[in-house]
Amino acid sequence: MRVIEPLIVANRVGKEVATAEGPLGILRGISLEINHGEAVAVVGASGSGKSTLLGLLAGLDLPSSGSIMLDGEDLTRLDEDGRARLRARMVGFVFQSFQLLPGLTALENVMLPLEIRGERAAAGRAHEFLQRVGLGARLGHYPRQLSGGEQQRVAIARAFACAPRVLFADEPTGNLDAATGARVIDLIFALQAEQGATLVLVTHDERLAARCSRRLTLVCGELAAAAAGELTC
Amino acid sequence: MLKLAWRLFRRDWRGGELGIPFAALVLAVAIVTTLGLFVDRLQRVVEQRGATFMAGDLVLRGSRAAEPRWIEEARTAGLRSASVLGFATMVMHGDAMQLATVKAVDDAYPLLGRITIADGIGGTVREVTHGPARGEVWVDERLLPALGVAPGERVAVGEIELRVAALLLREPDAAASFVALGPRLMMHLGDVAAAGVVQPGSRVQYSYLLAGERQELAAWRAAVEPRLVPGQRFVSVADGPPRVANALARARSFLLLAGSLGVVLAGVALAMAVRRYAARHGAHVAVLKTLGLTAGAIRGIYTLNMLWLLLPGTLLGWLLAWLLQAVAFSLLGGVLAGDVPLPGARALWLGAGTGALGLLGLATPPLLALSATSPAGVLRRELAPRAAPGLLYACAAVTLVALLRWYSGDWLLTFAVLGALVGVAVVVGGASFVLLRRAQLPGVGVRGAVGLAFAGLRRHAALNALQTLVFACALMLALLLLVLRTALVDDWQRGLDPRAPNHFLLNIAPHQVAPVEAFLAERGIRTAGLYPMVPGRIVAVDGARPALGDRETLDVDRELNLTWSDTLPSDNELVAGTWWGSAARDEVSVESGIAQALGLGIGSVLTLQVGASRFDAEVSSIRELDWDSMRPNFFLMFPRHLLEREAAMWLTSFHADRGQREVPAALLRAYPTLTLLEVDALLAQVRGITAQLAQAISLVLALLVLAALLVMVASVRAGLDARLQEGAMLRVLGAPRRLVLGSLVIEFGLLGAFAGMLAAGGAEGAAWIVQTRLMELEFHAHALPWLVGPLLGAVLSALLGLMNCRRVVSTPPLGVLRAVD
Repeated sequence: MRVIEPLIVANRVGKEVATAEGPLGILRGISLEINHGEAVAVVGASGSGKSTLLGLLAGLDLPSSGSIMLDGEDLTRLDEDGRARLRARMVGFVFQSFQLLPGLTALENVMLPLEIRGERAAAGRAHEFLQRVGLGARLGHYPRQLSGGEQQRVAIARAFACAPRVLFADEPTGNLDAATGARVIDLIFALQAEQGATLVLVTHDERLAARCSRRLTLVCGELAAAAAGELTC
Repeated sequence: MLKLAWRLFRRDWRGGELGIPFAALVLAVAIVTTLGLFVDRLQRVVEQRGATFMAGDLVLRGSRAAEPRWIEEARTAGLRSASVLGFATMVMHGDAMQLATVKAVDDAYPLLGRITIADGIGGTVREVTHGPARGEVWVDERLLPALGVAPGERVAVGEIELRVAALLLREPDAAASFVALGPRLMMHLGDVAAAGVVQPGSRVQYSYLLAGERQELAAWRAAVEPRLVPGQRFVSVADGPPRVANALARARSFLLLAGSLGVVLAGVALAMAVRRYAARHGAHVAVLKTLGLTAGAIRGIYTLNMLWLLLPGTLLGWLLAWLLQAVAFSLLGGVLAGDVPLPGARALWLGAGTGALGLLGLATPPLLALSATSPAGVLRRELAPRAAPGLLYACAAVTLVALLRWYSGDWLLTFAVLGALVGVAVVVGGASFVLLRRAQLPGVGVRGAVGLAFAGLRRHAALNALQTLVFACALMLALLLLVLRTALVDDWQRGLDPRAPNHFLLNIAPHQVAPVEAFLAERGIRTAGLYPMVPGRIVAVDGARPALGDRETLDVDRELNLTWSDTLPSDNELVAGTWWGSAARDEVSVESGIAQALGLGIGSVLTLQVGASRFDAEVSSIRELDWDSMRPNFFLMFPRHLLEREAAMWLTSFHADRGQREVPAALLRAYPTLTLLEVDALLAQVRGITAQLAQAISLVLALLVLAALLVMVASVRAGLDARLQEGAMLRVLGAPRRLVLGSLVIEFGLLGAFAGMLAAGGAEGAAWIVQTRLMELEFHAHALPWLVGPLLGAVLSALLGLMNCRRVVSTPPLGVLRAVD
């Protein structure tokens, strides 16, 4: 019988940063598994370490202790460039502050990761995804000419155009009003379902967390189950 | 990868992101090229003007004829040549006869410059570019009464008769025939043989004038020089009249220094512009990394970005430079009479090289450091790249050293300029940081714009210290050049005292000395002292044949004019030893230049040959004298007893102004055997050249101020985002337009005034070093920088701040906040 390995495995992950007062622990002993196609919400209070965990799982940063496997590759054994190549191959991102390049049009922003992967039909595919998110008429617009909701839709098109195996989303509705946020949520889940991608999202938004199949709660840098009995940091 | 980089570049370009570094690159290339083109072209103009003193670019002069094949080689190399023969002969008309200084010229004479002639006394004056035709002579006005001849009549020169076709008023190389033995006469070289006045053994001077491209001239000179025989030597502009040579040398030092500072300013402007570009790109790099781009790819993309800027930036910079120097020269059209030669290509390469080296050495390292930006920054919004400042500074230092060395060709100047800048940076930067951190008004709790401005000064202490440093350095360089320019021009004008002697009187017989002096004194003219002239030769120094240092060009075989005197001439200064008293020994006082050339010191013994006698004299003093003074000057002066018995003719010089024009003519009528040389024309030429140089260096100064202004703009822009954000926040909180703008103007104005004050101190210190060490000028403290510095600094800084920050009040605060976010 073929055993399907989880897509993401974190084993006793800790993260410390140096401060003037000495080392400060942000995450402690995080162990988790996320399976292919799963949608997982990471929730918790501000400062609980949600975004830091997301960055570590996506290989944007390295843990101070423990290990993280992404699609069978140990991120802690890869250098910066190795992790970048892994991201280019299988990871998509959606950020709270959109992170579009201001000098590029909507179409060019979406083309960017495709070009980094060396895809020939980048323009056609970017065009198609912008149509899918309802921005077919705004291809030549620059980010500053788009509303917040429209910018986030461009970011979603950029993330899904590469057909990522896993999408990391950091507070994707954090900068949007309720109605716009709801449309963006619908879009993310529709595309995720269509592509069968794994979704890991950090959010404060209860509606968004409720749409996920699983919820991980962080309290003071520890997963809620491990932190049972400790209500304050 | 190349394709992706090109697309990103195109998009960055379209998005306006590359505009600032590109503009800085264009300006860096333009400034260095403009200065280079301008200096090169100016140097050519000045050399050309200097060359007209000699009627050619280079002269081969000697008591023997040059080998005909040398001149043939010069023609083959594309050089133009002309021959001139100088000698003295008797000229006759009827029974009257007069010794004249003859200059026989061929058809090519003069190669440069013009000859001024007149139809007759008070007749039409014309400028011509050729000498007299065969069968004709042009004569000095004084020859007419001496011979009783009128224009159109004939005079006998040796065995032939020649027609007096014109009066010779001025010739370009008049200074060359300085030791004239009588009124001048110019004839055609072709008539000399028939006249039979030049025989083997005659005392004649052969001059071969050459003109053409610098390189060919230098190559020809190098080939001929080793074949010269004693008595033959080359004369170039640098060996020309000392005043012109000195002015040229100092102007060249000034322009070299100005150009070097221009290179530094352009480099700093470029580096600052790219620093801001890099800071704004931290976020882009983080995003690109999350999208999977590796650090190597990012370094490649930014290096390619810079390379793609280089070609159009260089071309545009060249174009701008060409236009700027063309405008500059058209503005100077009135001053720079005649054709202005085109500049060489070196300046273009220098500009392009500065752009390329500046871009790769100063601009690219901060961009490469971007590749170290952590991709996790997109989550935390901490996008500052982890640059290695030590490496960046090392790159910048190496690049600046390379650029300066290349530009100046001089290690000493390179390190002097950089050392001074580093010293100023450390002192000014540190002092400003400390002072700004404590910036406080005497009264506590001052509100309004002034209070806000002081708070701003304190809050941005680090940024403001940097800005003060850049402003102070830029202003200092501009003030330094202003001070140097003033000192140079003052020095040139001081040397050209309008009361300087303008007549030389030669061939005064010993019995005429007292009556001539009395004659002049009665008419209100004071001489510069009368001195006997005894021709003599140095035959040995300390018993051995005189040997010259490697770089000395003195002709030891030349006959020198020796003199004796009881007293030290008033304008001579003793630098070693003592002047003899009443009981003089067999001693000699030596001019410092010749003492250096021959390696003489106090106690050295010279053996001299004067006529048939030979004697020894011990060096007892060394004198410094001003060769530009237009007074009789001597390399060697002896006590009376050593030379008194030798046959001597005396000389003096004096100043006769417009009201005394008749005196020289009356003197000649009373003493017809005297020789009078008017040097007014020579002085006018010298004044013309120095005036032209003064104009030109003022223009270079203006260009440098422009470069300094560019650096100031770049530094204001470097701290723009923080100020815009604060201003917008103040507006959000309800601060009125006047308060926001007022506080900005006061903050920038105070910074500028402070920088100006520091700059004035720096400029005075630097001027002291440059003037006393580099240009050998006297140094006087100046009040000007202390007035101009703070005022100019305050006005410029406030204006630049206002221009760059006015967006804070002209656009809604939200727009400003979004733009800088």
